[in-house]
Amino acid sequence: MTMTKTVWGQVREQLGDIGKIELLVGIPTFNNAKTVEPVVNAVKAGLSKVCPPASVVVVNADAGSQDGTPETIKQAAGPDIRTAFVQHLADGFFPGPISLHALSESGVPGREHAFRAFFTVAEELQVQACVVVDANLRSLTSDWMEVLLRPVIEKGMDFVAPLFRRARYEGSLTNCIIYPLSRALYGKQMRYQSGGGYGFSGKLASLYLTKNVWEGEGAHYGIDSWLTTVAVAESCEVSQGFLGTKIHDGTLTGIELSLLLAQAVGALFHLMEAYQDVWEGSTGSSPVPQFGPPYEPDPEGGAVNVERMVRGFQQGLRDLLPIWEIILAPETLAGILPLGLVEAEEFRFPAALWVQTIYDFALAYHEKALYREHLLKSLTPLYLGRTASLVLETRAGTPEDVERVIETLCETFERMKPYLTQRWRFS
Amino acid sequence: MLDPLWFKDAVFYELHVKAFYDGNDDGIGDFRGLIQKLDYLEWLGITCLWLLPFFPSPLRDDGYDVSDYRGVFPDYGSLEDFRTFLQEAHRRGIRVIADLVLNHTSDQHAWFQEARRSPQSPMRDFYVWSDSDKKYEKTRIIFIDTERSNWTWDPVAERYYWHRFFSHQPDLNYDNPELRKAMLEVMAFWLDQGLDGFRCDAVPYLIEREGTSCENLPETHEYLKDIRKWIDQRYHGRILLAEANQWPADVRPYFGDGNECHMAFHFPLMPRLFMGIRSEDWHPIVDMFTHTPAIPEDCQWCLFLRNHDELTLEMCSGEERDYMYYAYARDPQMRRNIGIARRLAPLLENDRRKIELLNSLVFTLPGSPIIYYGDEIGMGDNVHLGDRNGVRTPMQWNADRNAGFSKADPSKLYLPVIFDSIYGYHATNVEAQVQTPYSLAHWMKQMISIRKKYPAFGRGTIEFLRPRNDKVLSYLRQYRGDTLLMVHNLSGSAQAVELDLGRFTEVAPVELFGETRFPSIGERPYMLSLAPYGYYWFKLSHAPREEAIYGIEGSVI
Repeated sequence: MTMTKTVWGQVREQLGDIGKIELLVGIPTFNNAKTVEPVVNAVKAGLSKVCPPASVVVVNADAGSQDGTPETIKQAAGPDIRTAFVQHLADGFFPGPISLHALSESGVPGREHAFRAFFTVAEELQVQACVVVDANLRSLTSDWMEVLLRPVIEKGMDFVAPLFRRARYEGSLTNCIIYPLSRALYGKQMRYQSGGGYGFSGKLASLYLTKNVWEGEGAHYGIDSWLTTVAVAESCEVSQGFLGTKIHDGTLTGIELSLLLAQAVGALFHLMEAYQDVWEGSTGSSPVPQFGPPYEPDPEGGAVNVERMVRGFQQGLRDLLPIWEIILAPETLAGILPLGLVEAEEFRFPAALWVQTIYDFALAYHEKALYREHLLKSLTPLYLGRTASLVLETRAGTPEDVERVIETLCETFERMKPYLTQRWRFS
Repeated sequence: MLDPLWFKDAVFYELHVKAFYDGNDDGIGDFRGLIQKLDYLEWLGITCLWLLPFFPSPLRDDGYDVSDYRGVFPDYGSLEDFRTFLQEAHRRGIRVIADLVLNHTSDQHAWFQEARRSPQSPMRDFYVWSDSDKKYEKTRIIFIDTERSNWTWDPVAERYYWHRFFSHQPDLNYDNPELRKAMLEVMAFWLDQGLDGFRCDAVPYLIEREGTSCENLPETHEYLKDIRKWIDQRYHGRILLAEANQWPADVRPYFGDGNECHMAFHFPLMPRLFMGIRSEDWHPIVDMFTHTPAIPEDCQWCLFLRNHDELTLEMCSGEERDYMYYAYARDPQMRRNIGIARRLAPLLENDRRKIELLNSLVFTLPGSPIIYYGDEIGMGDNVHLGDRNGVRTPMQWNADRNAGFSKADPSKLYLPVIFDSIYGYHATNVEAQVQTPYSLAHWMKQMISIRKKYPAFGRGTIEFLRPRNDKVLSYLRQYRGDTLLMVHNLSGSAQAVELDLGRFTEVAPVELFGETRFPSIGERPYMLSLAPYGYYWFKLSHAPREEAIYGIEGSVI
């Protein structure tokens, strides 16, 4: 609470006496001087189509840049737009990354602190809408503001999640686990893509501040892992906005796959405990409104090394079997064991077996069968196996074929949900 | 194709067939029983078994007095049982080597019986005879507790015969080409059964020459090279492991230029490990490696903490010996010959922390580790059983009668089981430890499994770091781009240490037991704190800068 007061005090001092503010644009940064100027220019151009500049404030939360990022923003914003700056690491009231494995999609350290600062200011100013965009984007256009803000201002949406045009096998973790599991749990067909840009209503910004996700176990997971889930689980009005292709500086390449998986899946499992009463009774799923010009899937696929993925799965089977024996139900394990002997080209991880695997992991997480980080990381080889199977199944087909396989998987998750609920209740 | 250097990555397990499991309820372990326990050894993760002698023998030296090189001691089963055992072990990916007692036979061996009776027999010259007991006087006596001379008068032959060990173990004469040929045929017999190699017993003593110590003679090395060449020409992936209780510089020639023995025990290291932990100082351990010459790349040291013999102090100075006796064997009953006949757990006062620490050292220093049966569950000993029998008691499987080792009447057991309150089979047994996830056995299993993942442990170079804190032993193991950092606190109090790891700046150490990423190494010395007898196994990983290996890492979300 002290932290939020400090942020607000800092911002109020910078803003002075102001009238009614309708919109807040948050830009979290860390050494983004090279890319932030076009981002601010595009934001300015986009905002001019949505509302008058006098009712907008741009808040930059910087994690201690050494390259003059805040100054670049101030210069680019010019005199027409009000700006406020929060230097969280430099001022020392944010203690730095909460845990080693709190990663952010954009690579900005302490990203959740930046979001918390934006939501705090949004609440204090009682804004109608709030948008957050990343500073490392090279594909952000002025259209983004309309796509992220109009649904909130004009359509009564609480949340606009980003939807990007992606290469064929991009977002494999999202497509294999996050999207189908979340859809089966909460009944909303949100694609669960994250980072880049979000739109929030003032009401949702305030709601986030009240949730127990900023400290404790929830804080171990990066904010991008739980923003969407909380909005969906809280029965907010959620939607998706088409934002085109996402091009940005810095990628997550090099960070251990198991760490990313543990964070993203861990956030989902963690929130399953908090929202048990929400998802337990939910069945089926329904589409959510979509805004912006829709696009066709990108036909191009990156260079995916499927043989290595199969080897990774089989290595995991050798090394992690004693752990999987603790986590998985005997019949699930019996289905997985024969996959260790299959040649790469013949390798297939059936959808139903995969769903049962994920549900077993969720149950083991719930039962605390193992130290949770180890449990989550031990899912990595299985995920590699399932991804390899998806690639092998569809690499000769069209992008629509990939979408069909993902849709079938989602339906299987929904159909087999009783397997999860029945066991969860009695565990 | 089988990797001929498999022994460099191996984890050995030493056992006596009679002590492991009784399959026919006669109170003595046997091959049929051993087959039943292979699943346990597979579970533990060991990759090679070393069997103590199982050949027919009068058992006056626990089988090292062989009376027939081509058979199986009847109490242990038949040759067919042995073949089945070998097949079952191989099916589980476990190799098997066995003791080959080259230096001597039992005096009951047919060769000796014939030799003593007839000077004309071709066997006569299989042994070393003399009219006088004054030859080779510069040669030391090894079993000083029981033997007064290396010569013993044979009233049948009416001559003295030479023996480096007990008087009932006459030494073979390797100056005789016929004997050399006969021993090669013995080796061929076992290799043809599928045996993966031999632990060559007492190799320094094969040849005698006047005016010398009769140890490590050049002719001995020539013969061992002949054996190696002969095996390499006929078999693939079979090994010779030399038992030479000597200083490393004297053992070094047993590797030749990679054309003699594949492996050799590092005897002097073992007491120094115990000294290091007792004196809380890394110098005895590092000094021993400083005095260890480099060996050919396709050879390997064999490291151990305990075995079926006494903890030998032959390679210690008088002062060091006194220190070891004071520290580990104040009761004279614990002393045997020049050494201490105790198991690992009692030597370390059953302190789990010390047991883990010493095992961690043996598993991470350059060489392949050997576990002595029962030490993986912390078995105890019985110093009152005489000779070295106190460390050769039945394996403790569970809390049933006879520790689950045998269903025979307890009085029929070849040796009584340990039944004291600390190490007795009710408190210490396999079944209980397998069921307890944090038992010593589970920890050993985990350690073995981690070691097997990183070839650097078996094949890597070693570089000792020299921190100011004498109580913390740390070193790097490097192999083909992999770097492992080992840090051991030899003391019973918490320690902090600063390590000079400047060349690894920005590398994030990953602790291998928990796979936990530690803070990255910076420009300043890397500081670690260790619990009493604590240790870390780190991989120094450049993972954050590694390229994507699956092609999906950059965009999984």
